[in-house]
Amino acid sequence: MSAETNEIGVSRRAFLGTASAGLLAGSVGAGCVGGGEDEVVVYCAADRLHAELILRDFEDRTGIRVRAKYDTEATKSLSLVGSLIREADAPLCDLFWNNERGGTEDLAARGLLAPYEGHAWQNTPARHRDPEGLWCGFGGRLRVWIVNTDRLPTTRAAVDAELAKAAEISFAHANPRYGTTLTHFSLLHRELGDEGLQAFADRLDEAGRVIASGNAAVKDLVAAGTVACGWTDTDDAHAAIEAGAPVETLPIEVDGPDGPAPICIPNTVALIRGGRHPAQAAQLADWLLGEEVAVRLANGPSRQIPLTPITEPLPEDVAQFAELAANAVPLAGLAPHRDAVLQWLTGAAA
Amino acid sequence: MSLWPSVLLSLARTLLVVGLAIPAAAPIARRLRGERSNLWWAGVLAPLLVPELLTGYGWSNFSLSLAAKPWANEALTAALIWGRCVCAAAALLAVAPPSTRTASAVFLRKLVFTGTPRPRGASALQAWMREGALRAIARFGPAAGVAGLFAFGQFEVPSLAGVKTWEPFGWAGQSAWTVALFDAHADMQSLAGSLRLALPAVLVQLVGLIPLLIWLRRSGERGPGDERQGGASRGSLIAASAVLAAAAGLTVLVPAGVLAWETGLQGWTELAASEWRLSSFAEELGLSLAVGAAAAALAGSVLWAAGHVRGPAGTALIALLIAPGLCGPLVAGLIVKAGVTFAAANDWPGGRVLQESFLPLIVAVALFLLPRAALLRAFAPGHGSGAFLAGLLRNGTRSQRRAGGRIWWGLTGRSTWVRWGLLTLWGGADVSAAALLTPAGYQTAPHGLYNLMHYGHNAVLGALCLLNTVAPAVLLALGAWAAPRGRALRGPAIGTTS
Repeated sequence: MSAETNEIGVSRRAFLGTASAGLLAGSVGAGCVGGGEDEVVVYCAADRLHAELILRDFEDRTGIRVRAKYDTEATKSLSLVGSLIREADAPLCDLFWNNERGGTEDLAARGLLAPYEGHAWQNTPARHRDPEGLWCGFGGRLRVWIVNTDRLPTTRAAVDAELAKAAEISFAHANPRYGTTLTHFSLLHRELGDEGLQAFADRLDEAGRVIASGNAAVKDLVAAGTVACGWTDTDDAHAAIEAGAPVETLPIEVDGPDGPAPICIPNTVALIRGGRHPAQAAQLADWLLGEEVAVRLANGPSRQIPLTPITEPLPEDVAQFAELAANAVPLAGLAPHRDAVLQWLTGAAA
Repeated sequence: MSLWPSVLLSLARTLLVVGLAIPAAAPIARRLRGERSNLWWAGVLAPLLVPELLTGYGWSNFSLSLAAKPWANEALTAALIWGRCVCAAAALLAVAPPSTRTASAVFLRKLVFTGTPRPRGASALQAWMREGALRAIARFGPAAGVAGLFAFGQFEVPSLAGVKTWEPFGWAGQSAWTVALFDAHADMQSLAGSLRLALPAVLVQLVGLIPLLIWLRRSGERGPGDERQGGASRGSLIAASAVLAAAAGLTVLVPAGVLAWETGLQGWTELAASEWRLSSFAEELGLSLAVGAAAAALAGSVLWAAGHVRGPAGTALIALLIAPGLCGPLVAGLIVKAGVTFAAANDWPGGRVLQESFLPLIVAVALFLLPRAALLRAFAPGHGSGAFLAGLLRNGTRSQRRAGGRIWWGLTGRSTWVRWGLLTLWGGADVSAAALLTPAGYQTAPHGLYNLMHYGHNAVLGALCLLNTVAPAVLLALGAWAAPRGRALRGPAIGTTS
């Protein structure tokens, strides 16, 4: 026998060994993933930092295993909406916890959501839920100006004056394709129309606009003083304030039916049509929409505003947010404006 | 939407980076080929083994401060990619077979053609330039091509640096095609749409197949002795040291230092106190290493099997196997995801189970690893006669068998172990394929960290990032240490055919 034959012999053994290891790993993976009855698959666009402990608590209390898929801060929510659309023919997800409303309404319009009118849905004010039970809102956040107090007084006049100046860099917002910034731009589109929004964007460019990867990056830019002010959400602003950064906030207002009104963007929860664990998903939806989670979200670092009446006292800042949220601009009927903004952004890139 | 602007910008950056990296890598490669090169190898491999996440995250705050100067941010990103590229190029130049166009051949050619009338219009300078250019292409071309592929496919560094050139290209003026494609896929692109969008980048990367195939073919050739070991000057030593210090500083030392400073005692204390976070991270790290190890084994097995097909068919098969991986883990992930989603949507048997398993992720990472595995395999030390001797000793006495085992391990086993370890590290560090294919309920450590890094810097995240850098390398080093060295092994035996 030749050395080559020997080499083939040992290599074949190595091959068989490694291939077996690979297949074993794959098979074990296939075996241990999916197929469990007492589980629920969740696609979660909310910050993992805030959501994970809540989902773990649900697991501990109910014994239902939660298999969560999170998204990045940068592509917040839109990526998971895309996954749900791509998986429509063979859904993997049972429940979608979105951190905003537009994407969920889009899924509802595509017929990808299953109705569920649980007791929590019934307790939620009509303006924060779908009339047919396809989705329900909870835990709102306000859109706010975050202002670096070393660079600007925290007044609307000072911010307006800053934006009126031509500058190389002074103001930041997140990529408007995603998350709450997309909702914000959709509201601007409803207010300004196609041409008005383009003119508005041009004016921001003259004022020295920076487009950051996400709301957290906006917060960092303002906290570091790289820009004087920016748009973000109350949870990100709160993180900067807690960290001792020289920042303060002002509510952002857009035109509503009764004049300027703040923007409150709720989380939404929805059951996926064709999901394999509808009972467990319904149980999780009730838990997420319940008072206990509302209180936790209000007292936690995300400082989210309860949308249903709760018995416990709220932290001072959240109580102030809640007052503003009560008069927030209605978000119903935004879908065509959301589509128009996405179209506009795509068109600008073409 | 088209990916062409991002592809062209990435290509321009790649050409610049490679143009600067190859001359800088040459003096380091000379050191790597010399004696007592262990320290040089450690310096060169460190930037290649450290996860890109560490580099990107370590510099991300500084990148953010350059928001007003996008071109400065571009320059920083290019410098960070150059740091990795120069090390990759040095390693490739060091292990590559010597050019067949040797100095002796050139000298002989000159002798032969001395006195031959020069073609009209050709000057000595032109002849020298032509000769020099051909030699340079033969010597550096394949390394430049492969290093270029490496630079072209970078994802985490440009993503975390947030490089964007919004002005000339509107909203989607992302200057790294990998990030642009990742974001476009998130923008509800269908899988087919995302793959169509990736075509320009795929075309560019397939051009990289050519140098890679040239190299893989040449690796089997045994040409004349390597003439590249000429004595190195003091200037060359200084240049090599300075370049390596700059590369390692940019990619490893500065970002690791920044993170260590930010983490401080507070980060480690907080992490130690947060039991759930520590246990989640340990699970995620274990998962990423398991995926990396399985993918490395799969890639090695596939290459071994393909290696038995000889001739042009074998070359074509290798080209076919390594082509998807040249396009990076994101494109490999999209290809696999498209296949699996199609199978599940059409109710193919097992399609649904497959979709929810780790197998698609392992296959995608294996596809990504195949070109690297092919390179490592091609440039592994030869072991023909040694293996034959080891095989002979297998049929001898116990002490001879033991000696045979030692020889087999020294010649084949150790290099296979090291190759598998390197591939495991690279496979385990993947972010983009994991983002597409990890089943719900699981997360690999790099993907989890990549997500968290978009929230900004904090002490605990710094600690996790440092752990993610150090722990896999330590585990694999422990594995190497625990691997058999002196004792008898069940190696190749004469007459074994199955």
